Amino acid sequence: MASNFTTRPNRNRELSFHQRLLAGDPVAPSELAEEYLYHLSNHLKLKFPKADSAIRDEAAADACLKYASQPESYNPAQRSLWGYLKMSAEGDVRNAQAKQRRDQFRFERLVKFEGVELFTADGNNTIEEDFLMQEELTERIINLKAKTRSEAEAIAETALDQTLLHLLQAGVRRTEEYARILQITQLRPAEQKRIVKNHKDRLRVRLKRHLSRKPPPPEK
Amino acid sequence: MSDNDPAEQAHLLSLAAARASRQPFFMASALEAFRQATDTDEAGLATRLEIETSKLSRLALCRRPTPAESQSFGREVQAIAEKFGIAPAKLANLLRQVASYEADKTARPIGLMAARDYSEDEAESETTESSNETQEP
Repeated sequence: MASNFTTRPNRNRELSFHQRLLAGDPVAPSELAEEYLYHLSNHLKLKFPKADSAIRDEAAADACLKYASQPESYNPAQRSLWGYLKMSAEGDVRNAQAKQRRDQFRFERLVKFEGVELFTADGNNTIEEDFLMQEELTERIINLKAKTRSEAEAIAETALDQTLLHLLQAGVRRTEEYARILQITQLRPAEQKRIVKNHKDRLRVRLKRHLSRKPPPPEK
Repeated sequence: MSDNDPAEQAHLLSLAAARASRQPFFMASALEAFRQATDTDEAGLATRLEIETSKLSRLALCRRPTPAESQSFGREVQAIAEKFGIAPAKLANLLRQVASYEADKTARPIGLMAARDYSEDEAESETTESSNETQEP
């Protein structure tokens, strides 16, 4: 097959791949990925230049994996294999972008309807009320936005922070739980509370930074 | 594919292998299960199979041979082994070990299973000896 996919891939080679996959050749999926994945990723880069590279690469990978594991879903009489893989990957990118936009919309609506400016006290509440409100809002946003492990890891860079974040996600509020993780249970309760709050605030700043990234606009 | 960026190609294959590890169809699922069960990293896995680490992603993207009881198992293992220059016996043993691990509902790690089996044998032997000793006058 031509190394540059700007020219149409060899039809016979495509059919050979398809027949090998249908026959259950165990090495065919690997060779398919080796041959198409790179070019599929490059195609998506040109087609969706503003999309996250992670979304593009995952879509390219998933298109190859889906076809390799379910080759019967492709009908060679309808289109070329290259065309089929492009169509599959492009669909995944569009779906992922639509999901990103939906999440962003939900996030903005949540902040609007809560009537709370994110992470900012309004001056009318006590510090404790503001703290609780922020905490509840933070938890809801974490659950909304940081569903995947990779997103959680983007917010919490260390194992300790990840554990703290998991506690937040699980809705744990008791200072004792955080103090145990932070190994500060030997300190006075007031001191424990202060240290735990510092850690939560630090995570909130990271969270705010992470969430402030705008999703890319839709691409045609 | 001589004009490919090798680093980018490696990244994409690695990403695909990671995503394939969640699908039982692919070898990646077996390699990941083995890694977790034996607490082995990629380098350890490559050492065990005697292949270069850089080949692991491609190996992971192969179709996982059907269970050891199947007639095609040997043929499929042979095809993969030939492609990557692995000793077929090593690959077959790894796949059988993973199948055994996956069949174990309690999901005990392989290393611990071996250790526990050994301990149980030892313990039984010790118990017998101990019981013999107590029966002696």
